[in-house]
Formats: sequence, structure tokens, C-alpha cells
Amino acid sequence: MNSNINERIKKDFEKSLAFIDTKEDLEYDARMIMYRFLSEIERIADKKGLNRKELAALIGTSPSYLTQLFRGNKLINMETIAKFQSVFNITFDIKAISNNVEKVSNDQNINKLNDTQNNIGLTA
Amino acid sequence: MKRKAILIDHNKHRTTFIMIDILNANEILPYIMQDNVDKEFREIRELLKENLRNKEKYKKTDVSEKAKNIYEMRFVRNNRNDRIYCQEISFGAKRFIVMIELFVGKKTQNISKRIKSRIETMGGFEYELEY
Repeated sequence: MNSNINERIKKDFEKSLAFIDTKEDLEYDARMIMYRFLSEIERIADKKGLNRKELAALIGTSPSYLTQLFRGNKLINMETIAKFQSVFNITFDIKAISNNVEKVSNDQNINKLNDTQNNIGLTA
Repeated sequence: MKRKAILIDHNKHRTTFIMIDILNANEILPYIMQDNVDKEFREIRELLKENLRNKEKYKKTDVSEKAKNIYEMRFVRNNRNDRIYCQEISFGAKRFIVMIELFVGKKTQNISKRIKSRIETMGGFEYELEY
């Protein structure tokens, strides 16, 4: 029974890594970029003990708008990012990293992962 | 007896491991592979792998001391209000997130006695991690 489950987990995992389509990939990437900004905002808000309502009030927006951003239902705009920078007196530090290095590393990890899965439960 | 969890994903530095409780994989996997849920799961997975904070997607359940290691993945798009409860286990710099149980159709923000008790039970699970 375990080997059947493990086989399916492997299959589903591979499916979840599959390329979706360009439009969906771009939308996903856009949300992930936003989440990186929002993660920093949440860290600062937690440190200052601010709840969602207080955070929204600081930048003159509604708590529900922030919830929509954190849920990925809407994309943040640059003006909102600028407002966060201003109220927290911070600057977001941006740098570009080549994806080619990343790609090799990811491929190696996927191979490693497949090897691991073959060596453990999948052969059980 | 220890429960078993197997690896489904990890980050490139091999510091964060996303795992699944093998006893409940039959229920969790079809759920996360559904259309739309798969996209939300892909985002949560990446947030965890990058160690990003987002309480709308993944947060501590905070129900009691017994369940201090239990977190929830939240699926809220398309009028869903579903959760996958997870146990976090740390070994040094390694962080293991074990997806334990799916809970579909949470009605309110409050946690019922029944769910609280279930979450506390999950807090006591011990795992044999295969990674």
C-alpha cells in the first residue's frame, strides 16, 4: 500500500513541477515578487506590534485591501510600496541574480530528490 | 508509534523540507492537485522555501501550548476557506514542514472545540522523516 502511495506522490509531485503556460507563469512570478515585498512589510509590522488595521491606517488604505494583496487577489502598485518605504523609513534593496546558476542548481536538486525518493519510500 | 512522513519538495539550500504524512497523503494530494488549489499550493510552497512571511497563506494556529508546533496552510481563493494543518520540526538549521491533515470548508474565524482538540492531537504526533 505504501509503495502505491509513494508512486502517486512522486507522480503528483512531478506534475506540480510541470510548466503551466506563459501567462500563468508570469502571473505567478508577479505575485511572488509582490510577496517578497509583503514579507518584509509583515516582518516590520510584527516587530512593531502593528495589526492589519493599524498597518492599513499608516498608509491610508483599508485593511481589506491589504488582505487582498497578501492573499494574491490583487497586485501591489509601486505607489503603495513607496508609501511603506516612507512610513517605515526604509529602502527596499533590489538586486538581479542570473537564473542560469539557479537553473543548474534546481535541476541538480530535482535529480537528487528523485534519487532520494527512489532510495527511500518509493522502493519500499 | 511514530508516524511516517515523506519528502515532496525542498529549497535549493536543503534547509527547508516540505513533507507529507503518508497516512493522509491519499486525502491531501488530490486536494492540492485540483485546478486553482494547485496554484495556491505552488505559491505557499515557494513562500515556505524562500522563508517568506505571509499570514494569509501560512500561519501558526496558536490554539494552545500543546499545539505550539502546528501551523496552517490557508486556501482561500474562489470562495474556499480550507486548511492543511502542518507540524513544524526543526533540527539545527533544518526546518521540516509536515502536511498532516486537510480540513475543508472552515466556516468562521473561530476554532471549534472539536478542531482545537484535533489540532492539539496533531501537536503530539511524532514523525519518522524520510528525506
